[in-house]
Amino acid sequence: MNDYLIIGNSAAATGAIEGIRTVDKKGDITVLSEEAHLCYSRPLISYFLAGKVDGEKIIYRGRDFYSKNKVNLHLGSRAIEVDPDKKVVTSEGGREYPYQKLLIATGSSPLALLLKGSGKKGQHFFYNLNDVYHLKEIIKEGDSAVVVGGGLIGLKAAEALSLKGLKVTVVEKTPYLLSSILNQASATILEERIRKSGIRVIVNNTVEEITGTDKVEGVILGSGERISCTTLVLAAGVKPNTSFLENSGIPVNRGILVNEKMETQREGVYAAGDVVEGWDPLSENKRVVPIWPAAYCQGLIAGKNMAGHPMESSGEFPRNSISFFGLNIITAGLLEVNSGEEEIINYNEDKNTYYRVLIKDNRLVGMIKMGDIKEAGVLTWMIKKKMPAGDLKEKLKSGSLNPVHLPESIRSILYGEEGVK
Amino acid sequence: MKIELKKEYCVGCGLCEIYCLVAHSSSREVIKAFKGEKEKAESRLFLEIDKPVSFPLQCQHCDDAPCVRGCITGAMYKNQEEITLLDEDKCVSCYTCILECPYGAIQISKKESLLPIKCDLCIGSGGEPYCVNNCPNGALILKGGS
Ligand SMILES: Cc1cc2nc3c(=O)[nH]c(=O)nc-3n(C[C@H](O)[C@H](O)[C@H](O)COP(=O)(O)OP(=O)(O)OC[C@H]3O[C@@H](n4cnc5c(N)ncnc54)[C@H](O)[C@@H]3O)c2cc1C
Repeated sequence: MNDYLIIGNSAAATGAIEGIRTVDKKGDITVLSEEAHLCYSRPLISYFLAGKVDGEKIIYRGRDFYSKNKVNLHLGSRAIEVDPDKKVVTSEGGREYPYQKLLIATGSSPLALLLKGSGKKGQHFFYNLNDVYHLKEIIKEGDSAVVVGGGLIGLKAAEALSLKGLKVTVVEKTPYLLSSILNQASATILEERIRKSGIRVIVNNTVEEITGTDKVEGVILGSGERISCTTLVLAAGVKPNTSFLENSGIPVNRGILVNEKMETQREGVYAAGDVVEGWDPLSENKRVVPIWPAAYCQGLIAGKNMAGHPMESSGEFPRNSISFFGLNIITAGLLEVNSGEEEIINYNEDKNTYYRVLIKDNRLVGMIKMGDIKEAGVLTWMIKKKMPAGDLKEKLKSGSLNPVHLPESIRSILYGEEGVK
Repeated sequence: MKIELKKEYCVGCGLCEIYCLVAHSSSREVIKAFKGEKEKAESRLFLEIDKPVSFPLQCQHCDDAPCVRGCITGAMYKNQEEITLLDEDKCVSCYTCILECPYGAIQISKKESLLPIKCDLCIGSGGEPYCVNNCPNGALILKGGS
């Protein structure tokens, strides 16, 4: 009998292991991981492709993490069924794993687009370490590559391929890049940086067909344009890995539904990370927030609760820190301006900095900082804690806000007991 | 362990910044640190003034440190004394720590490395943090630990 069984071995699983071990030093922990790697930093796969980190540095914790935490790690082991009544998980190959407490931390997978001509050699996803190992084998300087999708993953793939000397074209369906975290004005600045770095960007267009016999030779766009390429990267969105739960009776919407303890609606079954739909205090809705910090924190909370130490999540909201060709970008919270919301924008063309915050009902609810990301976390905190921002508008307009500028009423909370809780 | 701020005693003189730089220089001597070293060191705390308020932005070595939890590479970590430190070899300068730090206490180095820099409680300099020892008004106090 496993005291704790964890399916998946990435950010959320690591958080859970560390959470469990702060409470329970002895209980048996078993991890089932479909990928045959120690937990690695998924966001670093583009750095790995570009040669900026090696196979060692990409490992998230040290190699001795599992032995130090007394974890039975089953690599290359995929769970195919969960039975919360019998408290048993079955893996591919039919092995059964009984458990006391279960954590589902299976993350998400890239969407498979149904493109005409799919299934040729040279067609890749950009999601797992193995995707990058495969890419590394086939790409050569001077080759051409097309990336489908101008979101975070697609652009990170494009940047790395370009740094490896490939001629890269990004095709994005919506009118601008990174449209899930940027507004049009900031996306335009990013697009310019990316174009200047040698990548061709095509927006408002789609890849309709992949040409070639058994190998990718090119693509045909919705506009009719043909682009020749030997490598095609599909990065057109992701979906939570929940299909193996179909018969489990565990309620799944877009992701697995969890409460503030990261518990599903079946007793003893928890879920965390990209696979869950948890509470977003900003949109005041349940939603999937597919970012590394959220996955780790949810895992940590799940782990502590599984081990019997009650802990609640105050929710997670979207936030990102990324850079493309040296342009640093930090975003957090809500993006769209609706009625009753006020936008403060500070754009400095000479310095190539863009800054925008969104205020709703006197609270800060969203930010974009580009070029200059200094002290961005102060705004993240204000958003998270729903601090009043009305009196700070003048300061916010100047584009910089740090604890010195805060009224004492807010600063005392920041530096007090509840500051980072 | 962390450095507590008595903001009512801070007059914004800037000695904390100067001595923080000295602590992180190779000579650990003021004149040499500012004039005689090939690569000038940097302060790891950041004095901010918005009159009449002034104080340094400085890592609080939080118990539930959001920078450690959020770090996508595992480079930001807690040592055995619960001091928040950065493994510079592991860091890729993604700046998720800057996104997560509510104190604005992590900033980007002006050196070529572009690494995030922050207060390390003078862990490599021996003895008490230089800012605490050199604040003329006793506005910075080391709390907790030995
Ligand atoms: C290229 C790229 C760049 C990114 N950059 C950033 C960034 O800069 N900042 C940021 O915050 N986030 C970033 N992300 C997102 C971040 O990587 C994810 O939010 C995070 O990895 C989620 O962690 P997780 O533990 O929920 O799941 P995942 O990392 O998705 O891991 C889930 C694991 O479970 C395994 N698994 C799935 N099903 C089963 C099964 N049935 N049995 C056994 N194992 C199974 C999977 O193989 C996988 O190894 C990036 C993602 C990508 C792809």
